[in-house]
Amino acid sequence: MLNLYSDANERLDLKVCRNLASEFRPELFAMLRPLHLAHLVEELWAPLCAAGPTVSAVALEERPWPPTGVGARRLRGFCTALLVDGRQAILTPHLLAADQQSNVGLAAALTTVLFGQLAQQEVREVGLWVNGSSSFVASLLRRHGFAPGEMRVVSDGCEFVLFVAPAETVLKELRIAEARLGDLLALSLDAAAIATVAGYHLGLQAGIAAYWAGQVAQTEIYPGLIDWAALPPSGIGGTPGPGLPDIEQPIFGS
Amino acid sequence: MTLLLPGAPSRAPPRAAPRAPADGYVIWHAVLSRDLCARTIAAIELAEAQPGRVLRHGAQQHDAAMRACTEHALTPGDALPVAQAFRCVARLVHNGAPALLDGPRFCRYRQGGHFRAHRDRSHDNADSHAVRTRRVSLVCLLNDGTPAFDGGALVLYLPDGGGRFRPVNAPLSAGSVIAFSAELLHEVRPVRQGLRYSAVAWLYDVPQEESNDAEPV
Repeated sequence: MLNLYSDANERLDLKVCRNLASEFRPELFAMLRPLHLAHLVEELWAPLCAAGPTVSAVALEERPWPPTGVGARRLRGFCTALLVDGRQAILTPHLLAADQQSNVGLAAALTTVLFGQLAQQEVREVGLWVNGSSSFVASLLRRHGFAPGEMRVVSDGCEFVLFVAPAETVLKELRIAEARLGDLLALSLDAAAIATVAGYHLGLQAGIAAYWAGQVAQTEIYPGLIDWAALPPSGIGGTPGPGLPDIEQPIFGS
Repeated sequence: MTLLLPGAPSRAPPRAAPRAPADGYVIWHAVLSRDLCARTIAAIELAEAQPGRVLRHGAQQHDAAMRACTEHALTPGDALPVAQAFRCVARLVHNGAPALLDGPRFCRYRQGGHFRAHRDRSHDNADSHAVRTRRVSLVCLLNDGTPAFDGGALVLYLPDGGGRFRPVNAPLSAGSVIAFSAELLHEVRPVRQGLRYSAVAWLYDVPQEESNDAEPV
């Protein structure tokens, strides 16, 4: 069964890149401008990509001719992972072009491509910074294999907890571990799988919407900006301290 | 030569005589049986392969950014079923001056394989007569499910009359033959997974000096 986006999705080129902000800078601006988010290129993706190793999955629409030059590619959606300590990836949920907001198949395909690349780099775990007061996103993530970990950060007056899951588990919980990209893009899945995939991706999209709007205190998901491995250590190394005093003799009453 | 009917509808195996429009296309499904498709694919796998080339100003060039696939030279016997399918379709779409069939050529696209947007008919005098006078392009897809591939859509850019192009994914399955104007911009999108097998051919004008001797389609 075809959906609204099947034909256009089939023409998309899905790729991975290491530096979204430099490799797709004009395309990023062009995609984010109609969303009124162009400022995030400088405020978020440029520093994110400069700060550490990142991997992004991108969906590109290519003009027929000429295939190169200004305007040859249009970015239709992407998602990004910050690689931490060589074993974890902290995700920034997908962002889709203004006319693709319910393109769940594309969001799922981007997730699959990103996780596939992470697996190739032997990064097995993925994480999301979740507002410590979140019920909606926290329960959504728990349902898809995530669990709150030890890592916490405080930003903009809110505490965010890192929810972590094996990438493989997430894809299994989403029922798309074995799906072909073409089937994901066309949403050629059973109804239950479509509902699962849609719930997860639209939930993440809603969870980070307040951040995109500049309302950080209200955001349920913080973008994967913070490399926990680069955080300050928890205090300084201590000493064994003074020996314990001899145990006092009990005092008996006379 | 005149090409008549409006394009788009998919059609059953050739019986009637639908004709593709100058800027449209027509598809016939199951022109080639799945068994013949499988045999042709097996022959492609055994045949000598060379990287697909593109024609620029009379010279064949390798340009992987433009076209990434391999072409396979089949024996006349192995190519016969596809050639017959093309001839069968060619007779249905063609009702003009005598024309000849160039092809079939057999192509295999691996993961990442593609053929960026192009037109099959050339307007460059340095190119051969057969290329400059192409009228109809014919493509036969040889596989879909077994062996499977993902991506690799054949996209036609149909002019909407207002100076814009409307991309249309050709809904092909194994054994389908699509006929479209050789002037039409079209491309094969990158294959995401698996191998895509297809055959192509073109109808072109009989050269003046040969028009009395050539056996038209």
